[in-house]
Amino acid sequence: MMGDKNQLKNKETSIRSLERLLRQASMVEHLLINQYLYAAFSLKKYPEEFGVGLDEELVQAQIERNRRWEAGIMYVARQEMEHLCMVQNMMAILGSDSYLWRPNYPVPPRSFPLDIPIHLMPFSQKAIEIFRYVEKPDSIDLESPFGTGNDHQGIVEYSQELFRGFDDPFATEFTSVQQMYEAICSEFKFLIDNRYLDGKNPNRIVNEHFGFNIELEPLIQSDWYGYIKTITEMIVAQGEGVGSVPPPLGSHFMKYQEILDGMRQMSNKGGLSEFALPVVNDAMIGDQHALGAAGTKITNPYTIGVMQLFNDCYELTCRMLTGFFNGYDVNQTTGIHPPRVNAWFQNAFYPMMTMIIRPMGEIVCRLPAFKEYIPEKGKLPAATAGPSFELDVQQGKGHGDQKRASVAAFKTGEEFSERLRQLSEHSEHLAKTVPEGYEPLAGRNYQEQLHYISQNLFRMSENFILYWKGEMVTVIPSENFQNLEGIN
Amino acid sequence: MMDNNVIDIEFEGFFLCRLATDPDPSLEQRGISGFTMAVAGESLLDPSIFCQPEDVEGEYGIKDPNYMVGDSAQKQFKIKNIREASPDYKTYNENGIGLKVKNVKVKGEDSEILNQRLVGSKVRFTAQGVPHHVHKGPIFEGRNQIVSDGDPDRFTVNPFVFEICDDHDDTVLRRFDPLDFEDPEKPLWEIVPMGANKDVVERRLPCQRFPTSQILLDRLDIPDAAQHFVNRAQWLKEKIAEAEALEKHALAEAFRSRLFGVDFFTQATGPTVLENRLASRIPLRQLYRHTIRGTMDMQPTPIVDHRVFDPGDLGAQVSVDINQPWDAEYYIGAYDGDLMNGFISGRVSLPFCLNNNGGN
Repeated sequence: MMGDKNQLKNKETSIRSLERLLRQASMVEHLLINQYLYAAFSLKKYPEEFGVGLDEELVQAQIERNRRWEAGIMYVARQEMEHLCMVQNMMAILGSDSYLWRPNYPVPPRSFPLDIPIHLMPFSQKAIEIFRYVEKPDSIDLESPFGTGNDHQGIVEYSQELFRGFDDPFATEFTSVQQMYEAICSEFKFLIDNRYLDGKNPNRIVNEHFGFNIELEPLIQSDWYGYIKTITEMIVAQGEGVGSVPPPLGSHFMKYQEILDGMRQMSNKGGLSEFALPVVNDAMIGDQHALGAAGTKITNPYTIGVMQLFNDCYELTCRMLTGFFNGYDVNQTTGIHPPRVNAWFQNAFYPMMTMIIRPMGEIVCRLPAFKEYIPEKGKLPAATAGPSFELDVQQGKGHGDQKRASVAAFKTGEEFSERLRQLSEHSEHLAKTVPEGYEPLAGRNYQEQLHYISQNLFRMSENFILYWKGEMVTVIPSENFQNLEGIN
Repeated sequence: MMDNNVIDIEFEGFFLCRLATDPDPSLEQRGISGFTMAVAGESLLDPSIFCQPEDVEGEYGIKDPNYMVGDSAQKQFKIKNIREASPDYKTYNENGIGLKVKNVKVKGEDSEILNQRLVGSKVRFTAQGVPHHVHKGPIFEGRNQIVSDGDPDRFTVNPFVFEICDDHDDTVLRRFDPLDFEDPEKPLWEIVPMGANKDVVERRLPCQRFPTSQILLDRLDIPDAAQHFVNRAQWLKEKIAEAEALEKHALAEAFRSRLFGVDFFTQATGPTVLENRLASRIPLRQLYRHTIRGTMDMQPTPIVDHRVFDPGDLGAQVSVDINQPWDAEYYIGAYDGDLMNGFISGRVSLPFCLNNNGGN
């Protein structure tokens, strides 16, 4: 009897420990996605943004490089989304709810594997060195970009100052991302080998093609460990390039290495040293941070409004994803989702991420950070804001239920639909109240972009409730494809 | 007995459409994560469909010599935004952009007189005169699955206006097809395809799709769809070297970006047939079949120069009937994401009346 009790205790402790590890992995992936997007959105896209008096051909050539760098970072961010999805799959197997919460930025060093802080940084050599360091395999011995102390871009000093003496509420025990996933894999093995865990929720395993660069493993029923091993190995292979020497060109580590190589070649060529917009570090508008005041407080009233809309759209996306991962199901024969899953699926990924988050993030990176800004024709603001991805909930220790509630799925389709409608109205209001002189230096004006975003949010509100009620149905991408050509 | 008073206008040719492709947002103007990109020396992306090279030139002008290498027999490649293909894609390199009348039939028979008059005339899918339309031409409107039916590759051509012009570019035929006949100016994003509105959108979406169309490959003389972008990649590498040799560094970077797109997007990225995002679209042929129904109460109003469509050998004067809907059947395919062009082939059938009781 005593042995049974001990065994039960051992089992419960192990499951809780693994759940904690998976939450940490979820936070890591989620934090990295936003961090990478912040840098990607900050890259200059138009010749006008490089300023005047420069050689036009040099600028045009640099825009091409910027595009490929941004595409590379976006590619990595999309794969991190895939990794986040795999972590949610592992949580399903463990019998846990999905976990989409993560602390607001900046995140203190001890919260993150590698013992480095996570900042929202505009694109720069230092930022890419940090990204490369996070994505490095354990076999490569790179000097920490936070350890040199002679950083000319200030992020190291800024970070050291910010977190001096700060009691870290989300401490991690890992020294690398690779180590974290190896620990997760080992814990699963222990639980499965000891028959403490019989995999749960096979229906919740997302093996969905989100439309782009996604390689998800199908679960072979009951081969739980085989599945865990495959996906954890895939995560570190795609990210850190583990399993190949040198890491493969498509790995995140090598993508960042490639960008660094390109930047070094270009260093200050023809006066082109600023590849990014003057985006501040850790832009923020709220006061929800474990450290109290942290980051760069944005004070421009119009920019605050646009950032608020961005954060609200981001939060709603997280709520949709929570619903999606918790409630996921699909008919494996027909590929049809239940209506609610379809509502989340058809809204969270393509439209919300690509049509709302992305263009809004790019708008925010061009808006002035501070209230003192006076528009000057043909010139960028001296400092611009950035998408802060803030969750409006108490940070720090405790408040676990509140934190989870801040990204929980709404109970009804009407709530989602209504929220989308409110966001549409907010976007339309912002479109109508662009202050005089606030215009991007090139491309479509803010009014046009925000009006378009408003239309799209409105239509998504209509679509969402119809999907939710099953009145609009899953589209199968290759439906009505025919191979026999009888006509024309 | 079936009424056979119909003039069939057959047309075909390449169109240009520099639209943003997902996962870029649909208003993206540079092209970052999608497979279409505006590169150095070109103007920003614009989703408008252009059917005639003159329209492209009128809108964007000609290329800056700094962004050109080599010479081509095809004069169109001097026009800004019209790209040259690698030499293997002869059908495109020789013809360039341009939808033209190919054949005309009257009562089901080839009409020598109308063929003489109309073959080679410019055909346009246009948006001119459509109220509230903000783009330069019609667009494939999907908004990353927001306004289509959720299928990422099934779009309506919006708005739909069919036009034929004579040698002087004067319009001899034009008719608009509203999406919503009861509310012709209603934008697509406001039409939720449910209930009574289901057919409003559905009728203008492809009715059949052939992912590996041999008919299309044969028509464009593409012997091997898989090899299409292998050839392109090789040619782009040569162009990079050529541009670098001429110290045209921005142009070399532009070719590098095109090569990056070709390399990246010919990798399989998912399980469905379309997931080799560039190569899979070459043999893809989508068939549209709908009527064209615009009336004199709708903008733009129908135009018919009845004299042009009267073969003069039917014993009475021919009058194309704009009170009846016209049948349109066309396919769109072979979208080449590197060149940002595709091929259209189709037929519009014009019912006609015979005045003075001539004919049957």
